Amino acid sequence: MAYRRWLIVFWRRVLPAVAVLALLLASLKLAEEATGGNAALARQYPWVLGGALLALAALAAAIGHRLWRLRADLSREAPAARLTRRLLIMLVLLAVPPVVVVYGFALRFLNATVDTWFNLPLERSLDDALEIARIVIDERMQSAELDTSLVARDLEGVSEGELQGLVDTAIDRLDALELTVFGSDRRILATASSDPRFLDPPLPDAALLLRLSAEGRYAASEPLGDLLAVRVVLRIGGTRPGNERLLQALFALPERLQPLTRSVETATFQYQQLKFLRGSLKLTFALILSFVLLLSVLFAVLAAFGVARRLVAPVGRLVAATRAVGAGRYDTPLPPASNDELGFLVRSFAQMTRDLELAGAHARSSAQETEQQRGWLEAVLERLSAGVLGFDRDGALRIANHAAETILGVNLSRANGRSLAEIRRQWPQLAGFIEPLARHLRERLREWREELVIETESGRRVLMLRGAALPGDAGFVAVFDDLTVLNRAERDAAWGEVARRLAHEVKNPLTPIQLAAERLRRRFLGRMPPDDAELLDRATHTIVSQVEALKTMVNAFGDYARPPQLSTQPIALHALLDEVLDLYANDQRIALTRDLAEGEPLVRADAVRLRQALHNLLKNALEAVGEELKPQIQVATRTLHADGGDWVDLVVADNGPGLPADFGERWFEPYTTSKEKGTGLGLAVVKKIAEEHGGSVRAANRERGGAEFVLRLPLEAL
Amino acid sequence: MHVDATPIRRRIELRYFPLSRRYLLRDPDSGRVLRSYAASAALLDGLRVLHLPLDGDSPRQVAGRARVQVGLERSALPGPLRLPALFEPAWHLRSAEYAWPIGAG
Repeated sequence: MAYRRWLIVFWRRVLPAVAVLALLLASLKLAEEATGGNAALARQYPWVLGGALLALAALAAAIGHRLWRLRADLSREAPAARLTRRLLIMLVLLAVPPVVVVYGFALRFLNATVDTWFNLPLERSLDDALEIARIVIDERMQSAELDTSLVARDLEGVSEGELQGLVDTAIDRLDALELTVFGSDRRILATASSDPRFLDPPLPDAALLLRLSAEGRYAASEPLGDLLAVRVVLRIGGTRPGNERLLQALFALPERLQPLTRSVETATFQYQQLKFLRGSLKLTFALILSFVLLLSVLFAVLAAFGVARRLVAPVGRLVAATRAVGAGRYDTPLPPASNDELGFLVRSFAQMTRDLELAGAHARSSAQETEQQRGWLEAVLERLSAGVLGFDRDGALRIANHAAETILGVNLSRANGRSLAEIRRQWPQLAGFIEPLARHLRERLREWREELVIETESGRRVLMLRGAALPGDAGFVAVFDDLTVLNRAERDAAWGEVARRLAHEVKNPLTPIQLAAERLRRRFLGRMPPDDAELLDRATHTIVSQVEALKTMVNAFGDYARPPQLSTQPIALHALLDEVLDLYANDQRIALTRDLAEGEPLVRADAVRLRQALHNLLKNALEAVGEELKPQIQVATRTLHADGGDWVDLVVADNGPGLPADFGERWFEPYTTSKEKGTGLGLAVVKKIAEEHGGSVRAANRERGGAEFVLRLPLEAL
Repeated sequence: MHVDATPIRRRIELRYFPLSRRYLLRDPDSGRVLRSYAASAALLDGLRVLHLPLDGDSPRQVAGRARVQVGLERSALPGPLRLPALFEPAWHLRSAEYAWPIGAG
């Protein structure tokens, strides 16, 4: 981790700073070299240049890295990335043009300055000074040549042995630096020197000898070390051909002329050198200025990055904090607040965050409380026996409790958010409920009530529908009770009372009537004439049989009215069904078919009562198909899941004339029958038994003719 | 010149003296004039044959192979020429190496 941090610091801070410093030093070094420079350091010139290029590359890489990071930040929409880009562009636009302008002016200024070094008067002055020096030297040269020719004449015909002595004498007379006599093969025959620096005389080269042979003499000024000397070479006469001698004399210029001639020569040399190097000098300066330009531009861009980062960093952290607050996180650290406007912004943001956090906590608390109340309300609604529907102001369903689904026989959770028209399209059987409800909603009455009768899968239901507008124009609520059960209970109670009264008021006199008729028959039948006896016998027989029939009817009413005393246990429905159907299997009048579901449905029931219900349904079917040519009775079972529970339907169908047109719920009430011989209690007892077991019974006409009665019983949970 | 991997480096400076109109071959370290010419053509011609003294072990005293190479020392150029000389191939002058066997004398 520490290494990584060090690497980041090196890459972001140290490397750019070192690169800038290296470029600066390199530029200074190059500038120094261009104007003369230190020759001792000239060997490092390529290294300095290479180092400068390396520093440039490092700066470019550092900038490239920052640009790449900025691009990545822009791609992932990092906080303040776009602001950084904008600020960076502004800073670069502010910094770079002046630098480029200064570069252009500096280049022109340098070119102009270098050109001014080479003006004509200066050049002419230098040429004049050089010419004057040459004239002076020429005069000295003529004098030296004359003096040397005198010595040469003195040395004519002198033997080699005498030469050295004469040369030693002559050098003092001539005031020469050196005097030397060469033989024909440039062998030194005699030499003398007045200056220890010139003990080794320069030998005449081919060019000198050529000029000597052409002109007969050689006189010229020549640099000797750091001294400018006059060199005179003459032939010594009086020698044999092929054995000629040369006299060479070196003369120093007068002492006061030496520095002057040296100065003139140096100035002229430097001027001519500069003139020759003018193009190179300009090129060198242009290169150095380009280095400085690049340094300035790159440094400006780098500095712009730094400035932009410093300025934008707090804004970026504020943006990140804003996003965090937007996402519901209030613990994002904020940058330390400074004393400027940014600090004011940070403090204001912090205060706003605290207020938001408090408001958020309050809102969460309120939402929790609302949720609790909603839960409480839902619990209450779910436990109401009345159905409750809630609609918003646009008429869309928002709330439906379980009782509403049970009463209406549909799953209203799928209708949440839908309008009444959509609900009606989905469940057309609810038209009798939806239409009056929609009508009342359109009327926008504060309160209303209406009794409705609707047909559901479980039969006809009588509903008491009440509605009210919610406060604040928030919507409407509809509450409806299933009066079917209440009405049925009332009617059952009434029928029970009737049965009880019948049992009490009707059944009691029947036995005395029967006994009285039998006594009349026994006492008078033997005593009466045959015609009267026959009449009496028929009359008493009728009385006894009708009283018996009345007793049967009264007993049936008694059975219907008796409170249920069930003894329930799990019963295999198919086994019970087979047991009952076997009794009818041998009946040649009908064709009995079975279509039972797979498996063995278990129901918790009183076997005796259930068997009675089955008999009643079969008897009802037998009576219905009594006059058909090919009477058929079909018994089927099927299991299903409905109204939140598992059920088994026992279907008894026939191919009789079908249900009467006015068949309805009342046909399951006592003393309602379409048959001449019926007591009117068969279906009522079936219905009573079904309800005693938590089930129901309903009837319908079949599409292919006939009627079917469906006894629905709850399945026993395994 | 290299003898037994001990390099000996000799430098020669070409210099023009405007007052005397002479072209000189000088030893820049000692300032000693090696040759003096009246024309630049003569100086360039004189460069073909140079007699340079050898310090240390003379090739006459050692046996083996000697190698010699001549090149332009760009760092000795005048300051304004140094930077362009780095990029200008015409200033990159260096001869091939010449080698020959030598025997102990």
